[in-house]
Amino acid sequence: MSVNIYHDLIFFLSALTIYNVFVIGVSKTLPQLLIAILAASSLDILINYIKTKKIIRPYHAAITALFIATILPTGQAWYVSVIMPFIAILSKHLININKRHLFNPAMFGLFFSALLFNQSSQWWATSPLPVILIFGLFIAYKFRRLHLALSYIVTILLLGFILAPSTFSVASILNLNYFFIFFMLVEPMSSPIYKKGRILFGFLAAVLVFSFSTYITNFSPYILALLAANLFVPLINKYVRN
Amino acid sequence: MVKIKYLLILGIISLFLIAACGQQTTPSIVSVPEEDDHEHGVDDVHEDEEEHEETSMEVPAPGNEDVEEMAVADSNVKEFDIIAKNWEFVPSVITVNKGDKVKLNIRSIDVAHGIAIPEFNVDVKFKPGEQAIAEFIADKAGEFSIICNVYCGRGHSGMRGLLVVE
Repeated sequence: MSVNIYHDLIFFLSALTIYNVFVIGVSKTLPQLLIAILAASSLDILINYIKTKKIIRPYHAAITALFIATILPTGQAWYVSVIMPFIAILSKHLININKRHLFNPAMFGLFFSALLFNQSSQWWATSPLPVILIFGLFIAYKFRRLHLALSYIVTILLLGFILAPSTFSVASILNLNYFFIFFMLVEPMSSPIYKKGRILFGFLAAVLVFSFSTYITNFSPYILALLAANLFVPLINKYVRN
Repeated sequence: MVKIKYLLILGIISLFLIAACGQQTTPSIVSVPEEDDHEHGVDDVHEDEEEHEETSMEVPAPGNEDVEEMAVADSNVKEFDIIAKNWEFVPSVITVNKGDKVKLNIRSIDVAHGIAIPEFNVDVKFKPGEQAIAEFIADKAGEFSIICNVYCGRGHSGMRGLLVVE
């Protein structure tokens, strides 16, 4: 995967984040952002140096930190903004199969944040929607995972239409979490390699998000669903090929 | 090494299952009749609540719903009834005094929402038709954001309120 795509992703995420920092308030958002980026990048550089004896620029770590800092509620204690990225980066380096990390690192960090600190998620950088759609479609296209995103969108809308008609409307299309879909679900290293597998992965993630949203209220459905779907990726890669 | 890795993954799967099957951590959530919710406006819901609630409360003046708190309670507890809807809390500002014990009765009239005030460890999620209750002691003075902690749609990130502790 070209590094330029990750440059684009960092640029888009940074632009969205900066916009929302000023909307919500610098003092409530900027400290946790800076601490998370610093913590994730330092640890990633250190681990990569131990492994390769080279200094590798921590693009992925910065992206992971941006995700964590913008999904966690604002006004975090400094140690939460340090520990969560640490856990995320450690998961990326330690839990991998065939040199691909099993779990989306940011979601892994957020999962443990919920367990350790009883943290919920705020998703405070998920607006403005038109910008997310434009940036997101571009990123999903560049990652060659538009069909994954589409599979997710179609499935979750169908599930809502069939199983929860009282809360379903045309506006439901606009109310999907496109930040999650276009920036997190399509993450190349923790989603399937093959096209058919990616479509199945999108379907599976949608079923899980819908199920967790419906039956579990004390945990973010997006975090649980993506991590659970990640568990199936090695199997999907093995058995679902083009 | 491979064995340790598989054990690690197995342990994480177990954690997922525990988290997924775990009981609600919210203080309490009770179901409330929702037959009227979809047919009436917010003001009507306020009126309906009066029949359900045991505590007394003041209905805000028309057009003044977002400005200040509904309120009252017994002598020790400041109690507020909050409606969560896309994408706002009504009322959006609640004011208490430092040291007050605060009780929030929150319900959604459209989709699943949540309410969190991280500084006071308030973290509750609820679906339409449920009434969630959150209690805390306002032991810090200042202004604190009230946020929705369930992604609820395109206006989610702007769904905020304010707790003022004087």
